[in-house]
Amino acid sequence: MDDWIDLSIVLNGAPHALKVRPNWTLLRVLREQLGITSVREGCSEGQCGACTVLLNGDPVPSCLLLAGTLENAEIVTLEGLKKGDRLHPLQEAFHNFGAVQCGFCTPGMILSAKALLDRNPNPGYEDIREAISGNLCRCTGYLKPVEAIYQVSRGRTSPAPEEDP
Amino acid sequence: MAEVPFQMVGRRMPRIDGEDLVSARTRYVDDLFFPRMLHAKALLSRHHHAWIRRLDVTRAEHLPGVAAVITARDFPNNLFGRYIKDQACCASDKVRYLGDILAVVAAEDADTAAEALERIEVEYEELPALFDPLEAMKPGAAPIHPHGNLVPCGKNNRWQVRKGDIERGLQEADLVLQETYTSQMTEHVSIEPHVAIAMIDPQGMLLIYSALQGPFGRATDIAYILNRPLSKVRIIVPAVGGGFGGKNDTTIEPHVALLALKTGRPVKWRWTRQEEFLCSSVRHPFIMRHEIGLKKDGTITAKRVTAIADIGAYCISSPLVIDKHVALTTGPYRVPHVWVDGYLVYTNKQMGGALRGFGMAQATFAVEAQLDAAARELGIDPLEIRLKNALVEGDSLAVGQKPKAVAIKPCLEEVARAARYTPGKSCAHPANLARGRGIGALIYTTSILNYPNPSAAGVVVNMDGSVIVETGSTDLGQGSKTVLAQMAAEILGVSWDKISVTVADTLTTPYDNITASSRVTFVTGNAVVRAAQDARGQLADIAAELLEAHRGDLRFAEDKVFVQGASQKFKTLADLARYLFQKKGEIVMGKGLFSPPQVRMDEETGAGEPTPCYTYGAAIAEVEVDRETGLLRIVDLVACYDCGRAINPLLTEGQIDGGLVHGIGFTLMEDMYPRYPSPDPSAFDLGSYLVPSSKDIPGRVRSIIYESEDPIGPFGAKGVGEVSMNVVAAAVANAVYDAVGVRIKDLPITPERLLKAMLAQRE
Amino acid sequence: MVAGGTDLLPQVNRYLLKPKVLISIRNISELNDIQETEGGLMIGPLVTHSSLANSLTVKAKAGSLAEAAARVGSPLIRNLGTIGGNLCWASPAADTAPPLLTLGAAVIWQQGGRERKKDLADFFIGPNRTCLPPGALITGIWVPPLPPGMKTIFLKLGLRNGAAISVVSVAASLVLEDRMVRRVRLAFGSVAPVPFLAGQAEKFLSGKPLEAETIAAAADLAAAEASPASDVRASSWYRREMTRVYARRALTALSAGNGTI
Repeated sequence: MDDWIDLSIVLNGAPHALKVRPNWTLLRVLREQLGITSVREGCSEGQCGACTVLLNGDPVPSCLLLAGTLENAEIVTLEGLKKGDRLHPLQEAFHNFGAVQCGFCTPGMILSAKALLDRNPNPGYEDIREAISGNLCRCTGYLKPVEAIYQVSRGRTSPAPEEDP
Repeated sequence: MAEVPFQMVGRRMPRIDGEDLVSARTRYVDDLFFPRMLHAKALLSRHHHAWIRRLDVTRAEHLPGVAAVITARDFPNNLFGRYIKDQACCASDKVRYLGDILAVVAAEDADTAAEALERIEVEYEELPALFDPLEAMKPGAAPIHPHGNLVPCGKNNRWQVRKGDIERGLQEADLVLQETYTSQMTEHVSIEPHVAIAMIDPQGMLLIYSALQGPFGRATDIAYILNRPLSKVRIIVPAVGGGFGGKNDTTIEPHVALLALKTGRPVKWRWTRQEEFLCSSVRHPFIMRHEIGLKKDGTITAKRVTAIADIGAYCISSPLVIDKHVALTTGPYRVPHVWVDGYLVYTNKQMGGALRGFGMAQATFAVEAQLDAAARELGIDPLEIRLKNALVEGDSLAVGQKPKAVAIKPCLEEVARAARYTPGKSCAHPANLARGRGIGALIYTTSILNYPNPSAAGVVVNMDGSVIVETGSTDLGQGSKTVLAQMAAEILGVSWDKISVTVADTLTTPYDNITASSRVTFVTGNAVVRAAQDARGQLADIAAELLEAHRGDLRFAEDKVFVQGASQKFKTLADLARYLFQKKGEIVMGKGLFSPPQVRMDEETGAGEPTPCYTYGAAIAEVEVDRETGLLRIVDLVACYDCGRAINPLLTEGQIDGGLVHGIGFTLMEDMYPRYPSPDPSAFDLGSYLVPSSKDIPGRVRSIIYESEDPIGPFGAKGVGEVSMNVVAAAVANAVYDAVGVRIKDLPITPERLLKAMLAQRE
Repeated sequence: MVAGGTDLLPQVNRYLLKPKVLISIRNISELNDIQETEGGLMIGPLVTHSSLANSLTVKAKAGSLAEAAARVGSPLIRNLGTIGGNLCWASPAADTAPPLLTLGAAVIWQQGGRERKKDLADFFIGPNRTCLPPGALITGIWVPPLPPGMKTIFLKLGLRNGAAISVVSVAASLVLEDRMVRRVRLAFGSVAPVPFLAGQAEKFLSGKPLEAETIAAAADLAAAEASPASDVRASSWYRREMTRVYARRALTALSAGNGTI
């Protein structure tokens, strides 16, 4: 393959000009060209959710997107959630409520949760389970992540003192 | 439960590495990039079973962008294996399953490597393949290995447990039941696939980064395979994205290592999800023939079991699985007369290895189903029959050992209370949606059963009072780093932000057998406790001198050592460490080693004390069955597990949660070969092999931690990583019986199978 | 041609498909529109399953389609996968097909400067095969105006609650007048080489009262019309039984007024 495609995207608020091969997925470009390691390869068929990014606000599997089709796309990854040194409330909550174990699925799950809370600030437990149902996790059984997301929607990022998280 | 006078142990607290994980600062192996790194890809077998008549990689080698291609003849010792050397790095004469590797290519990028594979020429001569272990066991069956289709063991190629007099036990029984139960092949599905990078480091050391659970064992294999001293092989495990036993084995490391040595460049190999399904170890399918004898009051008199494990193409760690299975397939009950035979049978499929539960998820299902059936026959309530036979301290197991900290009764009582279990009350009703409740109870182990598995540890107190916990154990996500740090912090009184825990490195960190068998909290924990106490002793000696106090009056807290009752008399840890260095030229380094005491099982009778620590648990499931479709919904799941002492209850809960949901997958939806033993169709991708999603968790889940305080566990702790997985199938299957009167004998409980069983019952 | 890529890219990523050229049509915004015209709906082929599921227009005028779109794959897949892609990939299990069949939908495409329109019922010719000629581009999926009082429903049986390829899916659309069936369409996915309309069951029900007996008889007919395969998810026996059960459930729900719209 000889051709390159010129691509301009906005990643976590910053513009990038790239050259990509036609068959490169967004996942590959993010990891290998842009140093984004929060987006991970778990299956390459859009089933595990570890490669989730927000594309113009919507959570999608980046392993199924050809980078060359994404001219002017706005992409957000976990790295874009932090404000300086401060963690995003979802990150705080996952940490404080014990919702992270091996951590591999966590960035994707947090992005799906963020997209949910952006469109529905008061979700019920069913809504939360639905929203992260494309992010597979083998460690947590989803119980603490769902609770953490619920708590964030109710304004909390850590368990109240003397209370079980 | 009494108030615990601990500062750090028993505290719910977030992980020590939690912030790194949630901000993706953590570097997994696939996140590591090195200059001039090559990408590896393997040519896998096209056949289940075949001779390799010709293998020519020349055309692949000549493809521009390909740096090297390796095959069997490139390995100094191609055949390896801990129990029996039956597995090849690259298949040389024969392929025995679809995941066998014929050649591995290292190329500039993955696309070139894939193209190179197409240029490799292979000629096979197909052999009849065996998929059914019962067929493979028959005399005259085509041998998969030169030594036949049974893994050799003793005179009869089987693992045995003999206790009492089985014939007498069965004769004494008023009721004897016989049944055969089966369970399916499942896959770990860690979200992170296997991945390794090998290179020669600037010092000339062979350095491998790999997502492994037990790097020390793997380094031993690699040293042997490559004919290098073990001191010249270094494996570092920076982080692991889930293991569950799947990353116990030596899989891709020898290949990347050899390619790195050949090319002089770093080589990375990451398995695709399909390679995970095809090549990696799996949970053994089991065929379990159970015979139980009971008196009419429900007392168990005898248990006879024949267990056949379908181990696939190679042996790997199957002997440990069958050891555990035969030792504990009587369940958490008092059984005076026991006869167990366990067989490891080769077939042309994926290799059975370690997967959360290690032979006991399967056994527990069978044991509990049969006990439940016996209860129904005798007209005894299923909870009552379990309480009646439950082990108590002083009872002996089938292997003769008398375990301490026996907690099965409290777990059953707790779970019955939490579920508001009422004896005799059945949920069953004839409506279209039938509800029922079922109980499962289990015994399990902490630390590797019947095999030496020591851990060493170090605790260093630096001159600024900060502490390093040196351990070669790997944290796969279960939180071992945190728990070990909590133990060290408890003993030394050092503040949380001053502790570091090392990353597993076979060259520089203390030996740790493996993160498996729920052993790290218990075994490595004990090693860390000993090391911390050693360091504490060194500090206490000098503190006693400087503070003019008795050692016994010293307290360690808040980075200080102070005198009990006179808190103004103190020295900081930093003061003490500096003093030791300045005045005595000494460094504060504590060392600890712990090896779980074992008496190995006798080859004839199985008698022994194969592990010092047993764990217990019970669960009650309420299910709803759709009579028309067979779809099953778990409405409520409540479980109680004995963890000895929860060092960090937040993390303990996390382990239990994960195990429960993993157990739901095992019970309801995971199956690599839905028409086992036929290999067709197969489910080798995440669209057809279904693991629970967030929408598949039960309506209500509650887990209760019971703390039995193990006499030799660190702070009384036992391991809990696997227990919660093991009892779900039992509870759910028994609930199905309560709901619709169908006895489940085969896992998983798919809607189709349940519907078929319900229809058959109506006839 | 690739739109959302949810069916194509997994094959490409696994080196199972090695296209020399891929034309991405993802960014053709004119094809990503839902328009109400002439009382019906013209749905652009690039409309994603998420958009279909959330669109008030689609919920109002093609309720079963919105329901089906909401059950395709996972939320991530739904944000990327398109209705055009779902139909062109032509899996026997394509979830949007049964509702569209029951709504009398048609596919419109352009090829060589000419426009063609074909009833969806004639569009699928085999597993993963449609009558779309090479070089053609779908420009719209037409859902005609629904007769007044029409109720629709979609049901799906999957082996888990999360993303699951259907073992059986059913869509029904129905107009009742004094409990008599005036117009009925009943379509299935995953139980035949292509998604199909159960014509015998439909003919039987027309003009009859919608009650337990007629529903059961119609369900039996539908089950007989299915030609299900055995695969990794289910045997043909189970699929045929579930055709019967789900036909009954869909029709029973509609008779109790429990459909969408």
